[in-house]
Amino acid sequence: MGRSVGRSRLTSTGQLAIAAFIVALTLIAPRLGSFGRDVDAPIAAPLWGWLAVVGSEAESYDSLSSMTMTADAVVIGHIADLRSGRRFGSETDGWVYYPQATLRIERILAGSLPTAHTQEVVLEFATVQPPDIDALHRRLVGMGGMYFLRNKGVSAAMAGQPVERQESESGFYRVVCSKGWLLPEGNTVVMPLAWEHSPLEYELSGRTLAEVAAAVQAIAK
Amino acid sequence: MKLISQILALVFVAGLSTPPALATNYGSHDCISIPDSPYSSCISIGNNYNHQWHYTNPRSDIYNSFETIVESEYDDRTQLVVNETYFENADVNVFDSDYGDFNVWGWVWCPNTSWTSGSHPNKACRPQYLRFNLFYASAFNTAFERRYMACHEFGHTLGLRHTDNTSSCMKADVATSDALRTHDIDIINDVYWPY
Repeated sequence: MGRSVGRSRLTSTGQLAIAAFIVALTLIAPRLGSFGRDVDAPIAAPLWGWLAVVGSEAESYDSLSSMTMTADAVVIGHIADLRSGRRFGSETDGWVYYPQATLRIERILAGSLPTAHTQEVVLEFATVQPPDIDALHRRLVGMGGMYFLRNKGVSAAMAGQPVERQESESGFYRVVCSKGWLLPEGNTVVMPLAWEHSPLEYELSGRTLAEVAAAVQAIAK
Repeated sequence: MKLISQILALVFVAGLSTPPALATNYGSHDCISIPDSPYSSCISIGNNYNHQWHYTNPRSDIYNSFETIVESEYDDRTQLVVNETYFENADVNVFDSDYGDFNVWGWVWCPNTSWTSGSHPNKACRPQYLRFNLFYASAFNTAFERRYMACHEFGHTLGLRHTDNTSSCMKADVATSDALRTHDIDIINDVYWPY
């Protein structure tokens, strides 16, 4: 009898412990969304702090298919060179700096490029403080990956810029959005410029660059 | 069965006692743990309930929308005291210019010359710089779009993050609302007016 009561008390204690644990989880869980799990932790640290600008994007895509179908071209390539580029803004309003990379194209997976741009394109990145070009050069040159490209002439037209501006911008490219550059890392791909988690990140999670390339080609067909 | 009932009852009570604010879309961005991040434009929170702003050389239509929104959405609907001030006194310095095409029409950042305190997710910064990129001229066409952008970016200066809720101006990418939703207001009041 005594043993039975003891078991009962133990069971009650265990029940209470389980209940307390669940209650604790319930209390903590809502906060994990913003504090415990860092929802804005960089998805790929190596370049994020150098080139990503946390801001409201004119173009943003949440699926591989939408990003593929909208890009002017999706290419596999590597950065062959990097140099100081243009800057826009003013002394009063501040500047945005555009380091310019020569992106050597190895394969066009989707879309198309003008004949003059099928071998290499001028790909512009952006920084909100003067860039350390030597440091960026050391980090970026030789880096291969998949690039979802937007011709800046096309972008200027989308932005409502006059024809002259569209023409002057047409020799430059950017990635379509912060998720538009994929780098291989281990057995998966990462988005080095992305600063916010998105459905696209989960869609690509665990897929190799070759697998994503095949998916892009299938989407483009 | 009794155990399950007890647990459900406790969970229900616990759910009621969970503060609604702070649970979502608030807090600074984590730049501190990123190695070699000299250029990152991380979002910070404000330093107190008095959130003053200054707009340098504004384009008139954007300025008007900005002034309207900070007054109607932030000064009137929250416990914040939001007013215009001199550049030197501002918590938020606002600029607009053609900053070129890098796919960003608005951003907030904390220059490395600014005062900061605390750590992520409660890193405060003063002054913060808010910039509107006039390269994307078509994005500023209508008064609604301009109010959305003002509401959205000013929210970032207080630590509001993006949400999927279409009734909030903190929804990213698409201008579905030019107003804060009650949840955003609760967050601001809980954080900046804990009296």
